[in-house]
Amino acid sequence: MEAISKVVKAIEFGFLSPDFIKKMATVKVVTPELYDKEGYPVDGGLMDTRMGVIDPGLTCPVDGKKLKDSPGYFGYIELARPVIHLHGINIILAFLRSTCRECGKVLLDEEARSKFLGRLETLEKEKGVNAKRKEINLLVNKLKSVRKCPHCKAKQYKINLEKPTTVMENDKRVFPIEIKMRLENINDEDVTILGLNPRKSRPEWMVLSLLPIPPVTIRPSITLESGERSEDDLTHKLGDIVRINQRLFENINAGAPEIIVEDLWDLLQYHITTFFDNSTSSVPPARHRSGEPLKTLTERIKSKEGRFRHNLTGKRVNYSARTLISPDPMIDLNEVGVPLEIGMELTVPERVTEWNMDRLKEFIKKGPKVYPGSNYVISPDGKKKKITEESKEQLIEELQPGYIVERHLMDGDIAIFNRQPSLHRMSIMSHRIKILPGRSFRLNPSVCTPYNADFDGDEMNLHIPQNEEAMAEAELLMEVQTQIITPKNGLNIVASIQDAITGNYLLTKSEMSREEAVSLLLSIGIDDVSRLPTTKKVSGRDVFSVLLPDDFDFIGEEVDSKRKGEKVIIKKGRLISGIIDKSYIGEGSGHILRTLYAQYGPNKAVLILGNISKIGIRHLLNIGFSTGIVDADLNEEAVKQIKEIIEDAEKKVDGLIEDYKNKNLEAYPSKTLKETLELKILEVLNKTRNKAGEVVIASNKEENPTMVMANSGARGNLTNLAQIAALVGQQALRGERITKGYKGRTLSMFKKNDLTSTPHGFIRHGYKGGLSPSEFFFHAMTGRDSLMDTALRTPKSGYLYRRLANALQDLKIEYDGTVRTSSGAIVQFTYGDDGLDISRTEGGSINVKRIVRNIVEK
Amino acid sequence: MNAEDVVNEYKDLLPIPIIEEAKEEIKNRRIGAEKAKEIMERINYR
Repeated sequence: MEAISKVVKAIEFGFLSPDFIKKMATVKVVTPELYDKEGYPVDGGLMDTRMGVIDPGLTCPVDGKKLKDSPGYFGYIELARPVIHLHGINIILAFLRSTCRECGKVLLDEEARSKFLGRLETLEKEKGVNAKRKEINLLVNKLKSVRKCPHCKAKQYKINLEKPTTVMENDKRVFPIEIKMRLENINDEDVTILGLNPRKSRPEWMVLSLLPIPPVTIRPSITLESGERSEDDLTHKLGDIVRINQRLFENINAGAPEIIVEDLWDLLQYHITTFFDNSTSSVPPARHRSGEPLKTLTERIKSKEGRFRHNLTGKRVNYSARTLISPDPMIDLNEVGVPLEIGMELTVPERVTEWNMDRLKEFIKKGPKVYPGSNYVISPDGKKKKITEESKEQLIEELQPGYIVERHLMDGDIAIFNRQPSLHRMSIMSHRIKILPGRSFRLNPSVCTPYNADFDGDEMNLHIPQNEEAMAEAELLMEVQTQIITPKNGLNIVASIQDAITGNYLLTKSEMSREEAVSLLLSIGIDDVSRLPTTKKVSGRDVFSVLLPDDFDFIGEEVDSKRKGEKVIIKKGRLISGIIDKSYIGEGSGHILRTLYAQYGPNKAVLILGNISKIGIRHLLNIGFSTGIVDADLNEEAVKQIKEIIEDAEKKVDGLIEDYKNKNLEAYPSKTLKETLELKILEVLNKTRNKAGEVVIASNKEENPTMVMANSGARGNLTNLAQIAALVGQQALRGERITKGYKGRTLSMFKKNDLTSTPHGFIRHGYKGGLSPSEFFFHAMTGRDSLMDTALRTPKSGYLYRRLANALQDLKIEYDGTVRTSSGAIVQFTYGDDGLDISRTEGGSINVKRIVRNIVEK
Repeated sequence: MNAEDVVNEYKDLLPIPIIEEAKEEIKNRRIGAEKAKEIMERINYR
């Protein structure tokens, strides 16, 4: 089949003319009544069957079709007095302001008029519709102030709008009848000058004399359980319109005083305005008796719950589930734990063949209430039959090749797992199902990073592919192991986190008996321990090595002076030296993982990664690992040292202040003396925390659990520990010391113009020791500031990213290597101007030296 | 075919700076054609 494609050149919007409204209508609605005594729609009423049928039994009198096939037809109401269309008011104003109130001509003399027409034509040809529109707006703005018609010399007045639809001329109201008359007076060419296409929209059509009534099919009534009918909001609104219109007719015919007629006319205008849009700011919304605002035409379309965002770009799907997520480090990375309840509700379709018939009959026999059973059988003619206790036997008998059995989920089935917001490819990955007790989805903590998930109440969605093609695609393209490397920078995104890193760090530093080692390996499901040395004591490195392939070679980066230990070297699958930490198995830096992925492929890499994480966590469990406030204990010597450091810093600050006062301070380039002083003080005080941090580290043992976590890269850093144990340090608001507050001082407890550290947010105590009241206050200040900053920035950058992603989503690399838009326009001649596939690099570049070294030193 | 020729075979597949770096590295370490092929394959594992 050949696809037919057509390029949409332009879309033109217009207003319906009264003739057209009459022509397309099948009914003239004359009565607000809906149904007669028998409950049958009244002829000429709002539910007239000629506007469409919504009862299953009835046929449409217009096209003879039934409920599902009849599209429904428009009707119309003849309005007793014309009414302004809310969405046409700005155009009406522009026309009234730029044309003569007497002769209807544009307020330009003949010469200027023909000149302008010519300019419009060339503008549209050369610069497009938007440029033309701009030019017209400029003209309208100019003509607004013309007070005399250049043609008939009639005096013109200032025209204002009283929102939403009242037009005032010289503080006198102009009623829609007169507006309509004036607009009718404008000739077609002048309409073109002011930007409308008179064949599609004449300005007077924006003053409605006929109102089209939408088909019943877009405003169906619903029958409640009690048998009562409940009408759609639109029908309610139309009922109001018809009723008021009728009263207006009657009053006019009876010769009622003009004031009454005008009141009713305004009411009609109100109802028609809210029929189009019930959320305009200047109109009180029309409400149900319950007080809830009616949902009329505009509300149906716009915003998040509207037709576009709710029904067209987003839909609900079958064969999916959503529930809370919780962690389970002992399931595989590419598994997802699914509650039994969900496993018995969602199904996988299996087509019956000669070879699986008996197996599938078993599922039917068990039925929907026994696991693993089945819920439905689909016959080759597409009929779906529910399996019940009663229908079971017959369905088993009926079953033949070609039927489809929808069986319960089972371990190993493929599922698609997703967490919103789906910002990148790895937000939707496929997992193998593992049916587990409980009511939450279980996932391995190592895949939290790609989903950006945590377990503080996050929920995720699960989808079951419903045919073989979808299953194969999910398996080959979307499974977790195929997504280990992120296309963002070529680094791994699936990695060990938190305890798994700490565990491996401690494991590769430790020693244990062979029995312990074997038991550790067995506990994570590894029963081949032949590669473990047969000595009585084995090192943690030996245990770690068992997880690696026996022909794996790896040489780590040089260890920098700050990090203790040696370079990681793996030869023939044995970890010879070095300690495993975040830089080898962590997210975005897992050197070992990336090499494994490159050499052994995704399936093996994910298995090894899973084992590494598991052994880390299990090792921690065995040795016992905990953290507490004692981690921040300091010995007397350290306390003394820290006190000295603070005193020293304060002395320095005093010295700087002294210099400043004596004008001995040398200003930094482009800074005032005061600014220089502030910068220097900030520098001294910031250094203090680092110095104190060093003391804290030196005074602590390496086994201190908090230090272990920080050193291994699992969680936290040494500054955190220093802030708890020693001092919190200088608080900064927008890169400066705190100066806000009272005149000349931050708080009334300080002396005025005191430049020393304490009154400006220096916190000399640690969290553990406790902060003084003023320190607490300063801390709360910066805390609030950063809290607000993140709270305001996150949605902003999120939206920015969304727009960027939407703008770029259709770009792709063609087979000729160019980057093009969906219409074929070239954006780049080679991708990224260097043709480098980022997902194949390490952080954006190819480390040639390391690759050469790895191969040469193998 | 010597090591440099091997590297040159990847000219159309890799950016020039990477080819140049590989050439230099292979020249400095006096790597033979066979190993050079292995290195280039690893660099170009796309």
